[in-house]
Amino acid sequence: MELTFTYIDEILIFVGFAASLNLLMGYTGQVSVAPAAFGALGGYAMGYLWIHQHMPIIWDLLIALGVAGVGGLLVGIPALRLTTEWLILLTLAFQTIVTALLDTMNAFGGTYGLEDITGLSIFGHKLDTATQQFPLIIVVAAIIVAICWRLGESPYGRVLRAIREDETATRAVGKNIFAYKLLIFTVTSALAGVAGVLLVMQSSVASPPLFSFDQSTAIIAMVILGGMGNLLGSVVGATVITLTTPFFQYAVKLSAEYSSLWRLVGYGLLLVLIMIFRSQGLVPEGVGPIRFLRRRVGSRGAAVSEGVVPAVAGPGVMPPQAIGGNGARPQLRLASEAIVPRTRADSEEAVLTVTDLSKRFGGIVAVDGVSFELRRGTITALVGPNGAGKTSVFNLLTGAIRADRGSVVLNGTEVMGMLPNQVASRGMVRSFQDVRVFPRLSCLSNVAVAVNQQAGEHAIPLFFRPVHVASSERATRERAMRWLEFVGMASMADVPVGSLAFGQQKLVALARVLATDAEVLLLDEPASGIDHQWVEVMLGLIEALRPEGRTVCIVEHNLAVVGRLADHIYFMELGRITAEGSLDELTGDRRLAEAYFGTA
Amino acid sequence: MPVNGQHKGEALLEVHGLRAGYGRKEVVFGVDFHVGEGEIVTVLGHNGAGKTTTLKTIFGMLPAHGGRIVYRDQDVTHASCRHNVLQGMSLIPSERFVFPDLTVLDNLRLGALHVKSADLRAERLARIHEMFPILSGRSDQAAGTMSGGEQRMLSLGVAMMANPKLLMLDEPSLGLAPSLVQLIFDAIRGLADDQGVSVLLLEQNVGQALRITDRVYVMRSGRMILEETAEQMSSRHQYWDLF
Amino acid sequence: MHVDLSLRNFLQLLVNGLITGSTFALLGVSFGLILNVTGRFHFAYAFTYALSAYIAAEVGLSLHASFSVAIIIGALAGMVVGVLMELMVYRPVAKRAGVYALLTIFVSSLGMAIAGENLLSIIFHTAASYSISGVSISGISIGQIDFTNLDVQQVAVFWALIVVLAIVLRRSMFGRMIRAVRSNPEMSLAVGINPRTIFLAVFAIGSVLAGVAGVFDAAQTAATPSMGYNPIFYAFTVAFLAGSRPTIGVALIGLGVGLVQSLSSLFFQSQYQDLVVFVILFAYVALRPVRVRTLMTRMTQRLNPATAG
Repeated sequence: MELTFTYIDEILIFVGFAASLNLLMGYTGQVSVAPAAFGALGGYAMGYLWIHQHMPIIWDLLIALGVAGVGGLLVGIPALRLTTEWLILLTLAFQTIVTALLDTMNAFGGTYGLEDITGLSIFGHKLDTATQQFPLIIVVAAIIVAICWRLGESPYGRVLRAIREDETATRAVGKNIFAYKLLIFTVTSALAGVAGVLLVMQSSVASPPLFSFDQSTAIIAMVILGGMGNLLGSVVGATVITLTTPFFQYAVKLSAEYSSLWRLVGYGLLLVLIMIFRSQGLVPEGVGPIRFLRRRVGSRGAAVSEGVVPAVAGPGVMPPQAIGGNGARPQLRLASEAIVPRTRADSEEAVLTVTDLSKRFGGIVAVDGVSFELRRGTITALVGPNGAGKTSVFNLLTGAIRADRGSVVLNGTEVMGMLPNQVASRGMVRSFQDVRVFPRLSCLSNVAVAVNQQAGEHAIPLFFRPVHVASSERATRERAMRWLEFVGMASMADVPVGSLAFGQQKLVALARVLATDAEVLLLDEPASGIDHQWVEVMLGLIEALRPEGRTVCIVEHNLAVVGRLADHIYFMELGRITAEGSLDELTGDRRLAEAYFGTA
Repeated sequence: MPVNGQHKGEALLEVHGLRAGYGRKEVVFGVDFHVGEGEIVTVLGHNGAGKTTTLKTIFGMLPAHGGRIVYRDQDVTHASCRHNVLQGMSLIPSERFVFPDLTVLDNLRLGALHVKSADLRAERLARIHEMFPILSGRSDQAAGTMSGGEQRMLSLGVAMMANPKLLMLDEPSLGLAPSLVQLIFDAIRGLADDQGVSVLLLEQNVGQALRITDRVYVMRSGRMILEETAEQMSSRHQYWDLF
Repeated sequence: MHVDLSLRNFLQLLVNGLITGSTFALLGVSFGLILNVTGRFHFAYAFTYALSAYIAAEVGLSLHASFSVAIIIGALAGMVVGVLMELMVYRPVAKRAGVYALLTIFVSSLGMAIAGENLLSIIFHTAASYSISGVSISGISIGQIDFTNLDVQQVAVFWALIVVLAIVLRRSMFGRMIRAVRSNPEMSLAVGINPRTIFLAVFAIGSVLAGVAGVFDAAQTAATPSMGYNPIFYAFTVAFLAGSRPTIGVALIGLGVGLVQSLSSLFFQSQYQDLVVFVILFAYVALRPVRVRTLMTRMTQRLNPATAG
């Protein structure tokens, strides 16, 4: 019995490690090869405090949480700003250093570590045997998993997964990427520290091999085997990997030494095979146990053939009304009313005023003193030959690239110099020419991420105001659903966007941009990459935005599209705006024709 | 040795019903066209019309989703870039068309990668230096440090080192001063006239292209909407409705 | 803090730093070649390193081969394994992984490294360490600075290899092709280079060099199954710090890191040497983010399905 509990305790401890690593790697997409090193911070802190101060285990756990959390913060702040390769390198460096230091520092017992960590108790209950330790371990492990669950399978987790899929797009819908990444990195490091305490308690020593690089890779293997982004999978993974040692020892009858070696060979090869054949792990993401079984038996998702153009809502359905809103908005009109074509003659106010926007990249002038304005409720187009700087303008407006000089005033507020997520929350968002959906998330989730003012996207309400979060989430999903209906993709709400045809992905991306409720929409080549039926659908949807009072600016190369949609056109050449007017005015201009088509 | 354009009727390259794109993104929805021996054919069209995708698919950089590509009477629909280069195809991309970290001379040498004879390589190198004198003085300069126009000339030189039968150029006039564009386009015409090289040119610069091209196709949103001779295209008053 | 700023100590540390630095130079150059040309995060380099050492030791033991022969056979064994890894693991993984290639390649590399390390333990009998026979180490003293003949051989061989590689890359057609793929993968397709062949070649070269480094490491002390992990940390560090510099530049950065690490012993206890490198890395990362973008664009280019192996 005691032996059984030893294994159960070990499994639970590693469930704790694996769940926290999964939250970091599987959900948020940040690689760390140092989970054991953070465990060491916690475990050694506890060992040291117990031996020198006989500090009770409750305090040990809390202090370990703090020490490991601070460690995570210190590593995370520089590392998370960088690309994956650097994160791997820096966490590898951290793991190497921690192991090396613990191995050599006498204060921590060197190679032997801190020995004889026994005699612990909690609330009078002794913690000497595996059976006695079990209650504490299972409670702590359950708390770790619960925290990871709450963070991962919630509106907060939806943002994390969006970050994993595409950071740029997530930033573009108004989220502060770095804050999310840092919080998760800190929390998961802290949780690993707590698991480290349990490990030290269970082993009665705090020694370097417990927190070695091999141990980190074992934890990574558990996460990968079980499935990235699936906490249930982490439990499975932790169980399987932990039980391989006894398997080799008792089933295959190898010696203890050889068992642990073959175990490592085993899951090393397993990692390789999984990466070759099934990189999403045994249990695919977002699937609980019941749905997993049903999926296996039922239909294979609803992959739609490319020829099927959705019966789009468009003029028949009204777009959802904006939440709150800053200032008066034009009333929603029923689509059956005649829509008065808007021209520049209508004196609408300027929602966006751009003055003298400029940017150089080294020696090349990308944007040179560009000034223009977007009027409320109109569609403006930016056209021009290749390399004219049109997409650069979008990047500068949203703050994705910092301009050298100029001013961008959105509804009276200067947004120049703000980060993309700040600009997005002020009411200006962009779509991408290469669409940038979140492929492994469902259509509904793709759109829901963009809805603003969600309580569940902040950690404190997530844990302390669950009822409020739940009702906020209901409202969010409803709004997201209505935007999906507007673009005609409601029937695909649960389908992962990555499996859809490109045209459908573009519709979802449009719904996503609309769900931000931003007033100003910058659409980058909305009609490119799709066949003419889809172009029709897109154009119809964009036209339907006018009566709602949204202000749209598109970059397009297809002049037929521009002619159909645009109320006003700006012509750009070599970074400057050289002409503006209607399509007829522009195409009648000889000099423009020469600029666009070249002279004979 | 110079070959005049007497074989203009035979199709060196034939494309039938080509469909192509990037992953899930279909960009080309079935195009047909051909390029004859010693002919210069231009494909015009707006940005994003699918011209570059078509070119890359013909060359083998992208997999074809459907249709057939016939080159020198062989089906090369799924052939590798290397195979096509060995058969005399040459491609100059629209961006990043040199090896920036390598010297001018190294760039040119790479153009002649599959040329066995050292004498032949030296001969061609000399010819290119003659055509673009500025390159001969810059042999040891890193290609990435040259101006855009110089890099363009280099890219043409690299392509010519292989003595291609089909030269495919993607917007060679992009970002160049008009005088340089003139120079390069004249060089291209020279290749077709003197050496019977067939040229497939993608351009947005209609004016310059019409100076040297024999025939024109117009592509829009992934489909061919028009085929005309250079004369017919030149006689148009404006081109806005094609783009 | 035990500070000994005597000239003797300084010179000794300088010499030590030159020796370690030469190792870092070779590690950085060989790992960097693989990383910059293929974009693969080849963690299993650590296994190639250790395997070569073991094969060399085994060859010396059972065939009574001389040290030179042992080096060659060990390095060749490393080369074969490196090429097989690219052919049988990285290539299929990259093909299927598409956009998620970076992480999946890294994990597969990790798996190979772990499996390999422990297979070495099993085959060559757990943690027992193997020494390379046929190596006679004798001390040399110049003034009051001590080093060994093996140190001299090591530094000479390592730099010879680096210089030969630099020359081959710069002057031969083959080297030009490799640099072409490194410089502009799309253009390399345009001139008819087969990137898959180049990837294999680069893995061969990188692995041979790793193997030589591993054999000398074992000759200095002994072969242990996990001997590759510390070196690979330095290989990564030098390669990342050096970015896209030419071969000699990478080597000099490796030398620099070795010198800084060694000379830090003037001020800190030698057990903190790894920490010093870590701090350098963090400081670099915190102060020079621009460099990072260059590496990132090159790596994402390499992962473009049109040009990936």
